[in-house]
Amino acid sequence: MSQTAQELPKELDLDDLIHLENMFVEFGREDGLAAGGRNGAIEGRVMGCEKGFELSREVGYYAGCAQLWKALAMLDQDRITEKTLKKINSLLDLINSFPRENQLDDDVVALLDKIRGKFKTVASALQTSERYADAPKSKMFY
Amino acid sequence: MTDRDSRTNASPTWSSDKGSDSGNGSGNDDDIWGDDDNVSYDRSIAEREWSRLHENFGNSGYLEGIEEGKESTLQDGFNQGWSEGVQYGHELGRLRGLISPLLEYIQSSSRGASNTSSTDLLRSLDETQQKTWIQTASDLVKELIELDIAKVFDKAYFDDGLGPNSTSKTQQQTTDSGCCGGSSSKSGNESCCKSDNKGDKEESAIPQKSGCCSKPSSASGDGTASSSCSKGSSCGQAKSEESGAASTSAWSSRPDHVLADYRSRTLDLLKQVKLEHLLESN
Repeated sequence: MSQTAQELPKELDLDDLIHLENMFVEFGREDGLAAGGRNGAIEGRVMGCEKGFELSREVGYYAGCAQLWKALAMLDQDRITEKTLKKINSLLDLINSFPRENQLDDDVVALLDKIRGKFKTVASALQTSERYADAPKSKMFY
Repeated sequence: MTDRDSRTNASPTWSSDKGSDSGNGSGNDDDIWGDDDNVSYDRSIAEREWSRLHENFGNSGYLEGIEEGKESTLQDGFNQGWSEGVQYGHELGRLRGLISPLLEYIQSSSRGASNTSSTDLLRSLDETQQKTWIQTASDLVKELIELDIAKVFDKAYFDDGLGPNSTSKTQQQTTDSGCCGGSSSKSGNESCCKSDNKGDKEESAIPQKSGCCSKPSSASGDGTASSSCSKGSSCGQAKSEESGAASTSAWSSRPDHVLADYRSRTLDLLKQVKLEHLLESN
């Protein structure tokens, strides 16, 4: 130790030796941070895309149905009553509040349930057999 | 020669003469012990020890870092993906919602329900055309029901990050300016794209030449930098066909194609019943 004091202050040398292990950990950690950051961004993106896609697909379906029925109500006054039209409109309003962006405090699932319920109300009023049947989905692999 | 001298010469290892000559105890100096075998053995032990330390602690640090890095970018990535997914999912679902009840309406009417006004929808079509319409509509609905997400988003979509909400325009710029200097190996990405922060939103701030790949980033720290980097990694590959055709071709990603296809088929069907305005009523 005394020999190397010629090159470095004694304290620094001691520090290096004592914290050698930490030093290695730090180097590894830095590399890991970068790699993990990349992975996390992609992984998150794929996950978010899947979730957003599937959820909004269902909501979009309800939106399309509502829009279509609304148009039909204009053309065919008898088929669709005023009362039902009101329900359709409120369904549309509900759908418009579905978040296009994910915010942490949004309770998306609760909203979806509300929308589903509303849709069922409208559907039964119209006596339609429309329903959002899910086909078995696959996951995306990245 | 005296006896002492010969004795000195005969005992090479522990000769005090040699020790005092060097006066240096750093251990790197052979003269200390004077025995080559011992020193190189010790040295190789030391080197192996160093490598072992390096590897073991380095690896555990790496694992720590990966976890931490992942966590830092996961949520933002999720949010971005969410918006992208919603954009396409909503419309694809809506198309089904437009046609499916319409089909039901038309079919129920044609089965001789009380009012005739409902069949008016297909009145501009002759019987064959009506049958065709019904068949086409059924096929479309079925397809939309079975449409698998993997058919909409392909791997390349996430690679380039050329989604409609992402920095498609600026992404082209980065590719044009030769970000990552053509080093296509992804492992070199620590140095790439160290410049920007919330890469998605503020890419305009990217100094195209200087920031990117200028120097190796030591733990860019902000995970989102890496997130844009993962998209920017494509800039190493010659995505010139994407960037070359400027802004419009950024939209020629698979999801857009798929969506455009279904929209046009839906439009065809709607036109025939004079309900094409519904397509835009979103």
